[in-house]
Amino acid sequence: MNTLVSAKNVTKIYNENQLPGLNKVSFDIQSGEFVGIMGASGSGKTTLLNILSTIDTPTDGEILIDSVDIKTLNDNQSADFRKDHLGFIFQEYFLLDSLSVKENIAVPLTLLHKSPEEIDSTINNLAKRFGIFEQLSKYPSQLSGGQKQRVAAARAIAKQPSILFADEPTGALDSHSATELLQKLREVNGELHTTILMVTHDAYAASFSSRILLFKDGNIIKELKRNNQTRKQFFEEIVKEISK
Amino acid sequence: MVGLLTIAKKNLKNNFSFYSFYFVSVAFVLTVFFSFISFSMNSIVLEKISSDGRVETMSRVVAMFVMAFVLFYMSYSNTFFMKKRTKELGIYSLLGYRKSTMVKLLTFENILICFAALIVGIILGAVAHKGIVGAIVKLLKLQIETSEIPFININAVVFTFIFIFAILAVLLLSNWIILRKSSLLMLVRMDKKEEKQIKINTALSFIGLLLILFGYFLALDITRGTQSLWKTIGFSPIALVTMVSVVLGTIFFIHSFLPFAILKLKKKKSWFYNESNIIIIPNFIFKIRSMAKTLILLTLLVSGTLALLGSTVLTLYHPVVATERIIPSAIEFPVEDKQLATEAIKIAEGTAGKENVKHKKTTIIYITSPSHNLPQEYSIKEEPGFDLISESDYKELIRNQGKNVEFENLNDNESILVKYRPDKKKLDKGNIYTLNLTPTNSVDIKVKDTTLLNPIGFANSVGTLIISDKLYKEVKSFGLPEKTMISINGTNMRESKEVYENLAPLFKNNNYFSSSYQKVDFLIQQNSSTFLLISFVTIIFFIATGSILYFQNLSNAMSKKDEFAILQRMGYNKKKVKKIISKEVFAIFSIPYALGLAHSIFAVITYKTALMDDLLGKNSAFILPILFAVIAFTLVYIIYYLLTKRACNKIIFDSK
Repeated sequence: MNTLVSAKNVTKIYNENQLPGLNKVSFDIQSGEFVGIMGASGSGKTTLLNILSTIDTPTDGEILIDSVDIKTLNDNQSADFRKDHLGFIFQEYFLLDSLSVKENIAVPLTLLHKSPEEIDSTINNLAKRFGIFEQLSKYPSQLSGGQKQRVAAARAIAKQPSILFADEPTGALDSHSATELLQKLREVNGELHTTILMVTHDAYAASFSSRILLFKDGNIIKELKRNNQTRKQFFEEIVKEISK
Repeated sequence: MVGLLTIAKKNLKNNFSFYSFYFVSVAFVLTVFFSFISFSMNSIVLEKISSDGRVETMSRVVAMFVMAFVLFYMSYSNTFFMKKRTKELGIYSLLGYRKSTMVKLLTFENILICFAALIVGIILGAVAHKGIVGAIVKLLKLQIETSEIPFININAVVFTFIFIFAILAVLLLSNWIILRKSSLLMLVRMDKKEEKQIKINTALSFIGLLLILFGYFLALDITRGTQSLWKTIGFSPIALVTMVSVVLGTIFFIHSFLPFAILKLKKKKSWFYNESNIIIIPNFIFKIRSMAKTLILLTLLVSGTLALLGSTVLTLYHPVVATERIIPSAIEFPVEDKQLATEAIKIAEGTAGKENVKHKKTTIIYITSPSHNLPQEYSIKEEPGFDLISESDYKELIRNQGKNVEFENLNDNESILVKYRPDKKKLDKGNIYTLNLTPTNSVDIKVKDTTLLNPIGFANSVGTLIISDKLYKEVKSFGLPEKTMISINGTNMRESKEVYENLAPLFKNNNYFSSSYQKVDFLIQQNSSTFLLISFVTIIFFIATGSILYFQNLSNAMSKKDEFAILQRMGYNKKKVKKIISKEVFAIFSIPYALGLAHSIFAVITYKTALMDDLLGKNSAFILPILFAVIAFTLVYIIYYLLTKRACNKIIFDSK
């Protein structure tokens, strides 16, 4: 396994007089990992995700993703970088309401200039995998929250990104839909070897990952590894850790 | 498969309620624009209605204005939509679209809308132009073969296309600037951006109120006449100060005074703790800062529209009504040739029927006066003096004209002075004038009263003094210069085209021959092109005001859809929610309306006092046209309100 993400001393200062959003955070993510980032609100987890995903810029530090120093990218380069390397899932789904499910998934592939045959077959495969095949011609407004999030996940994975960023993906879902989505994410991680970085405050969601970085006040305070535990055991370990 | 064009088309299709209204408003604006451009390029008609190039110059000025305004309106709406779409743009950006690609997408959408609207605009505009030309030809009785005018003027089409391209270029540039300025963080995490808590500046809020009142005070000051600041300091500087003061006042008023006043109202608990007020007032306070710009813009637009409409209707209406004094009889001419006069009467009787014609011969005597307290009227004319008319002549003429005499019988030393301009204070009343009968002999008469009922047109007599029959007879015996007039009146004579047309050839080169029909007709000819040009501007203003109101309310409703769902869950039934919606929409409609109405009324008062010659002294002559403009505006405004309310209800209650 090779290192996909390497963060060194990443710092984000919003306001000189306040505590930094991120305080010299360093970690690595190996290709094919499913990493969870946990912490209470204000702990810096979303700031980290914003910075890693080029949505925001760090005040200081170095970040390499796929050996690209993302700090040096200009506007167009970072757009291209997102197009080629990154996938996103957000709590708010962020689907394009004007486009059908099929078209939503097709957008990133179109951006990569894939052939129509390839686009169609990719969409069909992913739609079956995520259980949204029947919904392909529908519009986002006609879907349930769980279905919307699965469409968002399919759209994010379609282009086979180097890394998938998920920001509280289950935040707006009921427990059944949440479990379904998390299982799909783990499945994708296992079978397609998609690297996933998931931000969550929910121990249950976090327990689907293989490694967890616990955040507090802009620092990583603990790292938990699943190793050979079952999901349930890992969940109990997480709960124990965060209730300390 | 999902190319930019597909996304653009889908966006337009799926945001139909928003875009359809935008499309309709742009199509409407372009209809007006195209018919205006076609008209201003219609050399066949322009040649006929404008001999001195006045209409051409004016239409060029109006064209510049209309173009500037259309451009402003389009870029305003465009920016408005851009802000609505931050989230969508954020998603594009996340998926890896470059900013340049997004600009392309937005431009595609604009091109689709603009060109569809352009086609509609050209077709409807051509029809409208055809209608306008038809109406003008009929109204002004022009000798034009309307079939010679092409249905669609190619030059106008080319011009409109170029104009649309210019607009698209400006929109592209403005979208590019907006996108350049926005970071991805702003686009994606926009929900984190909260409305700033309002901090009310009490000083500013009162400065706003005071500035508006000061502007109104300056506007009213013009009615003081010669002592007013407008005369002593100068028209342009005071006009500028008034305008700046009112505009700045409006800005501070809406920005600071309005929230200040509402917060004060909020303290009245019995009023505030009411099922709809408790929702509406905090919402309003929360939103007022971000809405202030729009409200200010709307207020200025409403003031502009109403002032323009009011002053135009006034300018058209007032001179027509004033004809009643300028030419009090239907036909009037001095008797220079007795035979001609007899023939004229015969022709009039022959045309209208003898029983319908009342003709009256009047002789006025010119007389001078050595007095010092002479009225203005004495010296208005070429050779200063009074025109004496006998009481019985006067009364008969006034009755022939269908009016009532305002005074009782005169004594020999009394007279009634006919005023040119109204004078409420009657400054001349009670004056005693010495009239020169011969270089050595004179008679003193007292002005018993003044009147605005002039028996003879101002072309033939100004400074008319009515004296008793006995005194008149005495004066006449001194052989002073005199002038004899024939006045023709009768049933429907004032409007009679035939009588005028049959008589006119007899008095071809006579400047003193006057006809009320001819005068009114002339006024319509003179002013109709002005009215037409101003109408184009007014209609475009109307459309802009209405659509900005519509967009603002719709976007408010969209952003509050979830809140209304919560309210319904809390136990507000549909009727109550509807009440809240209509109150909120009403608040946004009423503020610009009330403030704009007040502004425009003061503007029209200033306009009227500065630029119009008031001969009537009747308030109705001013109030009627202004009332007409206000009612017309209000009706359109109410229609906008109902449409907007309906659309908002639809958004809130649509389950989709």
